[in-house]
Amino acid sequence: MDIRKWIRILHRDIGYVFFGMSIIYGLSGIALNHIDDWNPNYTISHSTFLLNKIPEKNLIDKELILNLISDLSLDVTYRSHYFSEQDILKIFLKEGSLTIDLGSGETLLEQIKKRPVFREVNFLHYNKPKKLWTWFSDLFAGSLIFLATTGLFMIQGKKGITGRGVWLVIPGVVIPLIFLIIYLW
Amino acid sequence: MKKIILTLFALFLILYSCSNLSRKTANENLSEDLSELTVDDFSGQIGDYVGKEVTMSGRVTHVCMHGGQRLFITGEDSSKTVRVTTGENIPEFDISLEGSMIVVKGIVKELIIDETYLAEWEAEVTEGTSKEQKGHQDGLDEHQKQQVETGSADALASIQKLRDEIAASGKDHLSDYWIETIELQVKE
Repeated sequence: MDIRKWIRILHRDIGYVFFGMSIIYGLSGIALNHIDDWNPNYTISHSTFLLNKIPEKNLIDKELILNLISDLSLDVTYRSHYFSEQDILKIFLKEGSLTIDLGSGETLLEQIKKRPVFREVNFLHYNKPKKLWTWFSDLFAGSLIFLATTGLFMIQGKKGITGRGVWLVIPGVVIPLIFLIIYLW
Repeated sequence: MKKIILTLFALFLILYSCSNLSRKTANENLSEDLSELTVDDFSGQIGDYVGKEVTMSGRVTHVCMHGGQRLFITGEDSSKTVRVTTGENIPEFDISLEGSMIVVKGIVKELIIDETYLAEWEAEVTEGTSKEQKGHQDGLDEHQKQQVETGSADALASIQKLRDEIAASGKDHLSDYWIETIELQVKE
């Protein structure tokens, strides 16, 4: 039995099966590496302005808020409202919120939009579906180990693991070790 | 090969529909015993419910946008809020829940914050800072260094604040309570 032949067949077919998973984990890996710099799930924008005419607290209801939004010519959809503090009116919108300081008239418009693709891949990378996804992603993780290991033995000779292969494998092992020595150990 | 793929796809569809069916059943059960508890009557006596299953309603004032793993609900008195975290059946809270009235069924959890807890936290912060300092000369830019320093300072300030609160409370610990969700229903 030619082991190398089977290694190639399995490496090729498992690689096909997990093409999608590799893209998912690769993309979300980049997103999560930079989690302190951006929100990969949502795009959030803020704008502030002063209200010319501050509504009286005891007159505030849904109708008054709808009129206020219309007067401000804001392209938003009202959902609900409440007073988060004594003089702070928070209006929930379909995609964000308006926060109005009833004392000063200072108003903050926060608009939130779901970020396509990254939100979905992060959802899967964080294993939020749990249950069956755990099994499938474990299978993927195990297969990555298999692909990495079989990848070493796909080719014989000068370009194989006994030739240039070993020199390319070494930095991939040594670089993580250097970071562990500096930052962890 | 095509047959294998089609069989796997069919199996996936069956499992998916089963999972949706069980979710639907869970929601139907929830609507039968809609909560009598609100945030207002719950917040003062939350300690009595630790480890117990509760069903309560409130308006969502905030959903954590970085992972959707927690939200806050309030009642008539907006100064009282209860934290709600995801559970086994709820992978994440959607941002669109903000502003909605929800009914949540879950288990009340408690984190006891005492001197042991604070000392461990302090050690982690201090050790973390020294590790970062060890590596920052090569690895971090000015902005990152500032973030590390600010983050550690904030954490140490929080620890001290909690110590002061414990001393002022006359007890040997503080309690942080939240509800871990089993089921959730949007009322409006």
